[in-house]
Amino acid sequence: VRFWSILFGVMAILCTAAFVYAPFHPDWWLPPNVSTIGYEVDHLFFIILGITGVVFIGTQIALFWAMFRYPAREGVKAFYFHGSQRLEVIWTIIPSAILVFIALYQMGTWASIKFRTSAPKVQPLAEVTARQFQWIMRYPGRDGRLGTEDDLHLVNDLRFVKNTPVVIHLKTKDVLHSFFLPQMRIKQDAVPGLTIPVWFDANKATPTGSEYELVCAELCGWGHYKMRGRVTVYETQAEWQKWMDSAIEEQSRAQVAEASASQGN
Amino acid sequence: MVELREETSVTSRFRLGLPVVFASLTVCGCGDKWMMSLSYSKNEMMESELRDKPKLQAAVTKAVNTVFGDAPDRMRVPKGSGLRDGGRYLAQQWEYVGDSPSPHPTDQSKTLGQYKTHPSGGYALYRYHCLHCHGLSGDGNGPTAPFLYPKPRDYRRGVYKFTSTTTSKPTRDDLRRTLNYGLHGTSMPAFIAQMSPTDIEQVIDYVIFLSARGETERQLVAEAASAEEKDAETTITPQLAVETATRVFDFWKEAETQVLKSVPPRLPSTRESIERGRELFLGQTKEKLECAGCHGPKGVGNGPSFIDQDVFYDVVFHGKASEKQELYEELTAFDQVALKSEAAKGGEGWVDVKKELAATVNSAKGFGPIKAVPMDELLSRLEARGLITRDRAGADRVKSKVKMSDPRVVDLRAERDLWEKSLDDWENPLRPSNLNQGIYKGGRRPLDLYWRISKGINGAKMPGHLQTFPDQPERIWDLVNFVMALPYEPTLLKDSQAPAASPAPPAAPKVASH
Repeated sequence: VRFWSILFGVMAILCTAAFVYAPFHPDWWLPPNVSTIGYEVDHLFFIILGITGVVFIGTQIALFWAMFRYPAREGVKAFYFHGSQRLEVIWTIIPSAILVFIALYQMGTWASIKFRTSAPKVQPLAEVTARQFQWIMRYPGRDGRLGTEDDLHLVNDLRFVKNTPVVIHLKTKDVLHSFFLPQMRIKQDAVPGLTIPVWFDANKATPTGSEYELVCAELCGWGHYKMRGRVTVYETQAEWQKWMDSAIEEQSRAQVAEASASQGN
Repeated sequence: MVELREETSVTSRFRLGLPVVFASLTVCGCGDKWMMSLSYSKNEMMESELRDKPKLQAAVTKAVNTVFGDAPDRMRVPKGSGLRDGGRYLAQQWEYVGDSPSPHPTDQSKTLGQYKTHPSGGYALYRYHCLHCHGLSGDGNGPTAPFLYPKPRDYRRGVYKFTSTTTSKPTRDDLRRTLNYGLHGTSMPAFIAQMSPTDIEQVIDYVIFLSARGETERQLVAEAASAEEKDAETTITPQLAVETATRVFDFWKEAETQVLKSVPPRLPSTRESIERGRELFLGQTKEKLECAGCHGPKGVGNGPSFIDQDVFYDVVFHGKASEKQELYEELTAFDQVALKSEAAKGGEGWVDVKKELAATVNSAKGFGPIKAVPMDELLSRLEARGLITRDRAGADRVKSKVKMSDPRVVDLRAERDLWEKSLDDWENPLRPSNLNQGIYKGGRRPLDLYWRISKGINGAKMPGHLQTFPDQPERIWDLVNFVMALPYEPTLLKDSQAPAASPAPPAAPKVASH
């Protein structure tokens, strides 16, 4: 008789256990934040997680109790009543209040990561064009201007210097994609026909041998999972420049490389 | 009460179902252990070349399996394949085919450089990243392949479009570049962020393995096609397969030494050089290059030597039957009508379609899947073109209105031939590149463009031009400079005119077919 209530109760307990366990397991939790704005984003995330967590546990207890206490029983007839207006007003006002609070509370953060007026006034680092299924990146070459013959064309390879604000221009060639840098806590949809500026920074260079990630966060087709890019953050401008010079040199290669069979990168 | 009982039975079915759902959820993603064994798909050449010869088909399959293994998880490699460590990184299990095949279990924890070797090697990586387009057998016909144009490469021919070599085989470095950076303008993505350098090397091993397997199979089928069914066992022997495979692997090894290395120093991209390249492109020099014939006077890829762009789009993107196939059917039918009409002058040239033509037309081979066109539709099309007359009384009787040498028929034949010449070696319709876009499938480094122009594109219609300038290869740099400047200076070809239509694109370069 109480099969369903037990089943839902067990599921609720498992979910809560996962919720409590998550912060203690690196794979279940957010990757370490490396951006300036990330702390604010994480702060908002934790507040929302806290609110939803409390609400989840509360509603699950209520659901379980209702099912456990009032299961279908032979000989007991269900009866109809119109409901409680007071209760309905309460459960409408509380969520509305929470929503209004979140809406007001996040405004400052949203403005600083999305309003174009708060974009850092710097030359764009690159133009990133999404397509099924990769990120095509075009860096202005030595002349600092996009759309000229010395542009550097790369795929899935984003590199910049730590502690410098970076702006990229985001486009897409086909469908909606979403440019997501998990470690920098920035996510922006790429919309056909629009060029959208996206800005971010990193206060920690990528340790040698590893890299940050760029992923597509909008299901864009069957090869969605392939849309991953490498993000490398350099300690100094000089290191970045060195990489840029070698990449440009490789792109302008006009002779067969002598010694190395592998092309390197 | 009856209702109540029904209710309980539904509930109990749910109670049974839920554990099953949970159990299957826990099994999801467990990988190989739970997967059924996959097997290679049958080569379509078996049907086209060895139809109704089951013994020869079986002999070829057996011979290929002895050398390469009968399924991907029972892989074998002949000795001296040239694959790294004798094919050590193809998969977890591997063995030599030699005097006595012996299995060598692999050490899973072996590390290469700083990256840990993938425990299951190239096959597992291929299955994860490549199979859905390139197919388990490397036939370029995986589940997602129908979504794509240009189609994924069919490795089994052993021909690769963009190579740095003078043959149609790429070097490992060419494959590495393709895997790492993708082929721009196609659906081949860049894998540099998806796989470690070690993974990439393993995938290269596996691609070469699949390619060699497919090419060996093709050569054995060709061999079997000229053999007698009763001699199947004695002609197509495992020994022959080993020899064939060794030869194929040798071509792969040779490719590494056949890179077109003698590249003259690049001419600086000056105004003069670009102008010289423009003249070459438009065929205004004494060499009379025909670049514009295919790439078009404005370089947008619509030259007169290729099938019309709109027709191409209709066929490739709107799924319409290929014009050529329709033309084939029409011309076959017309030729028959005209022939019989000539012979039947006594009866005023009327031909009874049902009696005379049905067999001929239905046996006419089209391209791709043969479309059984209703005779009636075919005759309507011919009539609409004004080539035949149908008898008003009985639609079964037709006669030709024009001779077989009528200019209209000759034009149709030319169009049909043009279609045929607009296909690559894999029989897919081609487009010459639009040079204004700055998208270069074979790579955008000046060196890549130099290779492309000087040695052409294997399996496609782009010819090599090195032999055009035997003493002045540096003039190819003028062309490269022009091609590289064009996307940024579209005015370069502003006033150029269409050249006189040449009947066919220049012949593909004669590269060794291995």
